[in-house]
Amino acid sequence: MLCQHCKQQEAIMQLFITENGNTREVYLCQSCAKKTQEVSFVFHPAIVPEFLQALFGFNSTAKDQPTETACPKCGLSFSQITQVGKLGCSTCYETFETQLEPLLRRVHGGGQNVGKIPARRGATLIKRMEQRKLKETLQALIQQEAFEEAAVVRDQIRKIEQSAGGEKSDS
Amino acid sequence: MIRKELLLQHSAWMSETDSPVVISSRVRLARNLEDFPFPHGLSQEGAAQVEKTVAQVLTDTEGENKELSYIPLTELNSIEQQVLIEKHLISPSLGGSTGARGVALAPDHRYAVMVNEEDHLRVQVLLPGNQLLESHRLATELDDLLEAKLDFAYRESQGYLTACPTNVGTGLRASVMVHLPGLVITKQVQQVLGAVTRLGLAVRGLYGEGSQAFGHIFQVSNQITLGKSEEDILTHLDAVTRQIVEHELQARELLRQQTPIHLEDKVWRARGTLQNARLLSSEDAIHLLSHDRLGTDMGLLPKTKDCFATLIVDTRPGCLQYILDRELDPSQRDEERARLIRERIA
Repeated sequence: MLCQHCKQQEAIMQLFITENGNTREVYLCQSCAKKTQEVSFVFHPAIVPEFLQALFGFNSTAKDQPTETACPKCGLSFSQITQVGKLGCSTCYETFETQLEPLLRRVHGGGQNVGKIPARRGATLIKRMEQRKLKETLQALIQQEAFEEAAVVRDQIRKIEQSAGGEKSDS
Repeated sequence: MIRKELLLQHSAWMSETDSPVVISSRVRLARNLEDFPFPHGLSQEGAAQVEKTVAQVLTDTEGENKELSYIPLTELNSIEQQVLIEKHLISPSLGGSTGARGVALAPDHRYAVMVNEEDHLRVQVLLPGNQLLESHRLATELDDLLEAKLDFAYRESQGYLTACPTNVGTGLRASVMVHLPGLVITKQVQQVLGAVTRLGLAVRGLYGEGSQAFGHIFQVSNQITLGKSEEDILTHLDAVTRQIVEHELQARELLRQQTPIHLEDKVWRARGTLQNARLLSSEDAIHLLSHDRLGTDMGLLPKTKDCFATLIVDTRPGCLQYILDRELDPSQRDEERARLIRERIA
């Protein structure tokens, strides 16, 4: 589909624009999308990679770097990733953590993972999360001066610490 | 189960439910193997190796009552691939790509696990009506079984790692397919769905063609996958879905009160055409079936033999040709579509 604004480039983005209570949809190319100030939009799932290129394009710090790091596992550089709109492998997330951070913030609104933890691979992590949660509960109980309940929670924390060897980080 | 029988199987999500607005609920989990590059970076051999590893584990879940059958897409012709797309069991991009890739299907299609799509695995559960939580429970059940045998790419801070950063975190995309003729006819759909898009949710059409109101059917899904728990994502989508349902039912009531004769005329005309037409294009059929469904939902028309979702899917070009077991040009399809609907709507 052609961009409905310039009618020359291929549209890569679907925008929902709300004016006077009415919402209309517009399909735009990357450069016209850059010009628009509209923020009320959704992704068109089929064009997400292209959309990502546009997102990277808005803030392309990678292009300014004279020498680029390559991912040790898949060999891709960050500019190659921005061209495809996809990461090469799981190690890319570690290699390009700094560059990805603003993009992830823009797409997901910031925040760390709070979802499911894989039971087998994340066993230590699950224990640590449990420990963290209990520590928060302990603090709250102490503030409420509920010392008897706090003692129970403290014992639970100790038990976990003894079995897991404390706050070890998960690799 | 032989392949044709499996593909022609009535998909669980197409069953009739007592939900007048929500046709189906879908949950999809994106997962990748730690030791391989993401699918777009795989060599032919690498893709074949991922396929072999994953297909082996998927079919091993038989003892857990999952009974998944793995179908390599390289073994399917273009009509068979189209059938899977029209039944929402694979994505158009999986069908359109090349190399080692496939889908594992449960006998009733409630599970459809895509292999080597954008991610190594896309675990999908698709159920009829509003069953987001049950869909997620089933998806997690299978995910747990897979996770016991496969090392999925995962980081503490970023969760499940995916090829596209829009899926990272939970890897969860939950969606509902809703039928909104009342909101479309009363011209409120843009307003309601516009509000939905401002709540972090995306809206698209039945087969993802832009947001075209094909048969007044829309899909609403979450966009954010990182920084929110699965429970939060599902609860939010569920709450918004309930709001959409309420607005749709109000719009239908408005039509009944304000223009009852126009409403009756619209649904009876649809029924009359569906029962008598000798030629029906795909678009005509879906539009008329939508009005017919509105009529049966509102108690204005007697129920049809086959339900709405089944008729819509079975009259799509791929399914129609596969059911009739022969290739048809577009005009032959219009004729056969009209015949199939006449038989099944009686």
